[in-house]
Amino acid sequence: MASITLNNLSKHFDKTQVLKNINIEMLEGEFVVLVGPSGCGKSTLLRSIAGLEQISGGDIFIGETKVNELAPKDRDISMVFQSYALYPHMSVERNMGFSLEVQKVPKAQIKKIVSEVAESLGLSQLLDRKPKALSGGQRQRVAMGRAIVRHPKAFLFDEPLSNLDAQLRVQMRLEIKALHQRLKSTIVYVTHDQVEAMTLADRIVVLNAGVIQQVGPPLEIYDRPANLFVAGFMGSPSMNFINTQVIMDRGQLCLQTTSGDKLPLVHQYQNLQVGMHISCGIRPEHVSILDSGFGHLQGRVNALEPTGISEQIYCDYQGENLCIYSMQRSGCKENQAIALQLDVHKLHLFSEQTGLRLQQLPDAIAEYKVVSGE
Amino acid sequence: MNTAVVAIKSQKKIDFQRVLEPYLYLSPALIIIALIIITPTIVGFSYAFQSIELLNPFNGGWVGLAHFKAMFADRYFFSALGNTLDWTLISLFFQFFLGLGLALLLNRRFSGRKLVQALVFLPWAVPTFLSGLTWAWLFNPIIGILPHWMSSVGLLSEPYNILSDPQLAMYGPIVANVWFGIPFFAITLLAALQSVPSDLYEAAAIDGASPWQVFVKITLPFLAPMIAITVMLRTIWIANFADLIIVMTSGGPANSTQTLPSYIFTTAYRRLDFGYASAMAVMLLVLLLFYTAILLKMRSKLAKA
Amino acid sequence: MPDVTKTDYIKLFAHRFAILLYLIFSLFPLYWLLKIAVTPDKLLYSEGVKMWPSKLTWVNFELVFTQSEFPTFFINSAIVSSATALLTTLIAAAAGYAFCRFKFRGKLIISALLLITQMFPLVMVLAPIYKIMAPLGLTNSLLGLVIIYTAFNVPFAVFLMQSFFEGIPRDLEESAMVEGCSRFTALRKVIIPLTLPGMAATLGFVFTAAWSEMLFALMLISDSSVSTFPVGLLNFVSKFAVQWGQMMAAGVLALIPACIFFVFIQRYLVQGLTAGAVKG
Ligand SMILES: Nc1ncnc2c1ncn2[C@@H]1O[C@H](COP(=O)(O)OP(=O)(O)OP(=O)(O)O)[C@@H](O)[C@H]1O
Ligand SMILES: [Mg+2]
Repeated sequence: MASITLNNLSKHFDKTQVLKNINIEMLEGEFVVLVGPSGCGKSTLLRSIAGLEQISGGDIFIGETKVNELAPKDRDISMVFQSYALYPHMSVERNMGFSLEVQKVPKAQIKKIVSEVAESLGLSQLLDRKPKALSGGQRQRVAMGRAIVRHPKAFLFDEPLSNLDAQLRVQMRLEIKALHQRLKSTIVYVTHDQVEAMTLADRIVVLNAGVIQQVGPPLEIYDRPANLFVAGFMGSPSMNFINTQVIMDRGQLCLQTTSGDKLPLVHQYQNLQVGMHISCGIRPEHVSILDSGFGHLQGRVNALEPTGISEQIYCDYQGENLCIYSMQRSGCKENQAIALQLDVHKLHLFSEQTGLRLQQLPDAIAEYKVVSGE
Repeated sequence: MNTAVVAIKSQKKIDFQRVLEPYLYLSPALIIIALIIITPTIVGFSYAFQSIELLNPFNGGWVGLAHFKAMFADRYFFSALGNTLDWTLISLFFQFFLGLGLALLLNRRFSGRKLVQALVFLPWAVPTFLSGLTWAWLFNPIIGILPHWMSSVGLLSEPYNILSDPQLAMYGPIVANVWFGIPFFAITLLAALQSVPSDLYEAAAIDGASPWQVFVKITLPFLAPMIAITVMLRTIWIANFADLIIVMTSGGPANSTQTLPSYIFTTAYRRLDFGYASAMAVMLLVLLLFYTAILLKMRSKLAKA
Repeated sequence: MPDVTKTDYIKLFAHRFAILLYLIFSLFPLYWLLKIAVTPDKLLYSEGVKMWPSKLTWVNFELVFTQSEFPTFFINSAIVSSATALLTTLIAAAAGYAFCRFKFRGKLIISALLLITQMFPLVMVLAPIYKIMAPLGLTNSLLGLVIIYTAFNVPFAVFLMQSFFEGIPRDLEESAMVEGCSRFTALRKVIIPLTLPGMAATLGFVFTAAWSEMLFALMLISDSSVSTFPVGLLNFVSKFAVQWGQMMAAGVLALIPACIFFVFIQRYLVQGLTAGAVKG
């Protein structure tokens, strides 16, 4: 196992810059998940680490070694491709043993290692088959087995589960997690899937347009997104944003919405000034519908999406679509006027000018902890 | 410092390898093409302005445009030019329409289609010299049945060999060429037909279009680009194609089947007059380029309209 | 309903009938070749134009095998065609791989160049090639033919091989490279095995093309010991114009390798023609 360090990594194809000044230090044994919208450069970053793309600037270290100029084969890394990239003309056994075969490991030894790994992945019955004769989940397992067999310095996964159906995806997710705990390996994992990112990662790296937006543990990213992009990207259904301005109302700092509703600020925030334009974020699960009274805001129901276990209600407020996530069935109808209550402890404040988060001040955080502990 | 320099050097080396690698893989192909196709073409171009007759080795040197002047006075050259036009247009016409018909017939499911397809495409695989000989034999009244059929239908007054009749001889190689060329069009058009998305047909069927409307409004527009490019390339190919004529008639009788390529071949092969042959080849090339240019121009005009 | 089925039957019948006509047109000449080859010489003049002779004979084939130079021609052609096919496929595989997997300077120009060579009048290079080959001792030589055929078949074969390589996901070789292969090892262990059917198809194409080439052969070969089949057969025809049975027996022999390869490459015809869309 080894750490992976990216220093000021950049990459451009001809004239388009795909990665800009990427700096990450991935620790030995750490599970790092890369997320970001389609085309933001996740695969390119992964392929640069593997050596499949030549980088345009910066350095890549695997362990203590600078690998900028090393060919992929000399980097001692395993990669699991979205398409699995199993060799169609080889049996499962040869597929899994291929890297050892290339390294000229004695046949008997290859057989032993492969059968051990196959055992651990439940592939023992399938060793003689060709990839064509496997199901999607089995192929996925073979691809992972192939990566495990050689004890690489690190594993790279590029959306390995995206070709599986929902159920199998959950199962494989758990298996990958178990695998990581067993092997204690360094893993860089690219995914589109929020849940995968949240459940698997020790740390998440959010990438947008080739620039790192935030790096941190999953809950930190969920609870304290560093900017508007991360706030909107992480979480499903995604965070609501309301355009507001900071005002002083009867000695209390408030956020006033465009239509004049007021949200009291119960915490203190860095750099907050009266008159500032703030994009106020609130997660759907922190909005609730009042049975009576006016609440903070009044909206009109646009659409209802019951999923059985929960319900998402979309309502119109100041021409914006607000989403409410509720574990109760509200019994609302379309076009019905409703009163909304916001959990004002859970407001996220972003400067409209810079898009950056206004950090809550420490004493406020203490209070926040008490509140959330209730 | 030192290590940095080493790093830069090795980086350079790797870049160098990466840049050179594709050329390494390409080089055998490029070398052989440069030596065997490009060089002789350039040399051939220069021959057009020299006197090179193997039978008359003392008659050498640069002659300027003499060959081209001779060409304009050469009766056979002009008759070959006319024959090339007939040969190309008639062959192309029948190859294309019969090929299109075959493709449409094969574009339907029926039992035994694979076998039928293999059999009707077979003429394409027959070596050209053999196609030529086979058809030459078929036109021979002693061993071939065609003259007998033609006379019994009334096309010929008596069963004789049309290949020795200057009026009719050209039809011999043309029939052989059509026979040999139908599969080419059928295969390419069939491939294009099969690439027409089936939901287009389904939509048309729901809209109540008749089969003819479907063909004209959907199939044809879809095939048009493919047809345009194949017909253009095929025209050039047929115009250059001399094998059948050389095998079946050698340009005779009385030069009645001599096309430009066959005339060039005869000039080079029989008379060993490489200079004049090359001059005519240059002329042929110029004419074909001219044709291509006009066609491409027309196409871009049509595309704009 | 009955109306519909009636017109359907008529359509079906018309379709089958049209196909039958095409089949007859395609196969009749070949049938005739075979028929004359098995007709005894004595019966030729009396029954030459009958659909089937009253007696059959293998004499013509025996004569071709034992008393003529055709076995030599056949072997020469087989040598030239196989060597051309092998050499061309190797060269084209390398070039096709470069086209498919690398970005490099001049790629567009080179592929345009390859395309243009396909449209060139062959007759243009006939004379210069003779002039160049003669002093090198490559006229009257099978090697000379192999070199020329290879050059003229490489461009099309490159297009073909490129399209076969493009059918193989890039992931596969990248995966192999991450797993410890150099690019070349990945090519050898992963890509080549997967391209084998494509290579076989290319081999078949080039073999048939070389087997039927005759202009260069006529031009460059005069010695019957190094004649290929077309040259030998055409010379035979012009010298012994009345030995119909033997000529046609030889023709049938010339047809066999082409037909075998045709059956084999048939599947790839469409792919090949759409890839190059140029060559006959
Ligand atoms: N070989 C290439 N040449 C030019 N541009 C490329 C190349 N490969 C990728 N790109 C561009 O780089 C950007 C990043 O691509 P990348 O594949 O890394 O995105 P991604 O984040 O993996 O997206 P996805 O989630 O859809 O897989 C894209 O805009 C893409 O168009
Ligand atoms: Mg990707």
